[in-house]
Amino acid sequence: MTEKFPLLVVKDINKFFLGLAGSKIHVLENVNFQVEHQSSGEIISILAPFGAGKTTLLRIINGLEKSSSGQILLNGNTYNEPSGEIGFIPENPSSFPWYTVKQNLEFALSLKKKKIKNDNYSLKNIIDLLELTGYEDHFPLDKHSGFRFRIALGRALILKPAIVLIDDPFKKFDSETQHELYALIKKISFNLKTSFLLTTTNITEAIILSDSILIMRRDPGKIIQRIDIEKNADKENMETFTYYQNEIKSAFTSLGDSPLISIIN
Amino acid sequence: MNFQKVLSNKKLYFILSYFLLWIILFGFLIPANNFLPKPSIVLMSLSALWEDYHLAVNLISTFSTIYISVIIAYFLVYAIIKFIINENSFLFDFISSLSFFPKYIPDMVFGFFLIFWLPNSPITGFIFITVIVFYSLIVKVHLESKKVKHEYIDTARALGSNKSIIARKVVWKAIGPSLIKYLLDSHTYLWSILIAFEFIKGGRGLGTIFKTALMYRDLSAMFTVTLIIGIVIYFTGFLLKYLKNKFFHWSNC
Repeated sequence: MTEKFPLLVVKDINKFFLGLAGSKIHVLENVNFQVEHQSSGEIISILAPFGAGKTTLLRIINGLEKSSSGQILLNGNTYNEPSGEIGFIPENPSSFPWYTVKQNLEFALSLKKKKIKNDNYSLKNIIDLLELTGYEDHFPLDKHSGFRFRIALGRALILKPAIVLIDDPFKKFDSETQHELYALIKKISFNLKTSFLLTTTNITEAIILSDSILIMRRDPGKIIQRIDIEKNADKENMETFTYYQNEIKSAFTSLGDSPLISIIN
Repeated sequence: MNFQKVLSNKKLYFILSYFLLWIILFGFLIPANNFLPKPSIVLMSLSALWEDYHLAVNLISTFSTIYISVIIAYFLVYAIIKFIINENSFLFDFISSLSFFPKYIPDMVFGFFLIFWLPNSPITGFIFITVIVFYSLIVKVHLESKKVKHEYIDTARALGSNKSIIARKVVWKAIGPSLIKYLLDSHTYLWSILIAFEFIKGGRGLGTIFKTALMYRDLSAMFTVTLIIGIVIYFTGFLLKYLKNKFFHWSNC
């Protein structure tokens, strides 16, 4: 029934903030894209430089913030408030330090309005999937930040969201943890058939992790190009990787010089 | 950690030195004076305090007045936290406007009015401390809630939490360590004002013991009660610290 409509439609989103002396700052300009239902879940990255409005866009999609104009549709429906149907992990993963791992997930479950009849989303399965088994009674602050990210991810997933939004999640982790978490996100996307929309400033991360990359410019923030990565592309292959890297670089270069250089690595 | 231990040992040595000095000075060198009592008389005054001054009843009265009031005020604030942190609510405006009074009028003056209004009620002290703790906790909650990481609130909102859940399960939890620390820091103040209140009002409580002891110029009773108060405050402070570490182990906000 719901698959008649795209999973998520972001349509003509504009956002203005009030600047100093009453001036209007145009943060997002006619942002348009959509995420389709996929049989195995899809990972989409919004690749943009710092200050492009990525966080604002995710907050608008989630319902945490209102857009100045435009429309967001989830499975064909509009919404005004966040409801747990869209999972959200902010830039600083925020597992609640006063709850144990299990309590963090139970907190989310206690907010659930409808019973989820799917064993994949049981507390036990989510804990297993996130490789947190044996740590159920541990407090987040006892552990490293990668561990806390898993808790935040589990708490978002346990409500069986249609899509999970993650705001620039990996920049604070060391390279080893980053790669562990990339693998984890891919595994979850495949096993639970959940789609992810994440923001990043890192080209390598976007290529390795994503099925699709949305290139966003800044001043004001706008999606300028979508690069779909071939389903069976071998991203470990240098040639394939360089191909996508060049495509992304040329998308940014076409914008002129710029602040965007900060993301080229 | 080691530095702290050294400091705490140093503190202990100083305190023990004061006691030793007191025993030497007032036990042997200047036993007859009006400044501090002789150590042996202090020990003897314990039985007089127990029988003539009703130490047990008065100590329990003051102790329970403070800590029961603190517990009641704590849960009252919990019950209305949703309104305290919601700057658009009527209650918030009402409470903010009341902050004018304690800013310029000392708490003790409010105590005088309570004594005037309820001179013979046994719960006047409870009302006095409950109102003071309740009000100061509201102000503290209001200030601390502004420091709560917005990620916590965003996450809770994103999961579909309503304002009440955010207030009770996120903000209240996040500021818990600050509130307990605040109570830990301020409970000695509560002892001071309640003792003064009891001193003025009469009836039950340690303040009444001081009043009677002053009337009879009983220096040893005053000194012994002071020691007992110090010991009780030390142990309750210790207990509060233990509770903070056990149940509020996360860092503030």
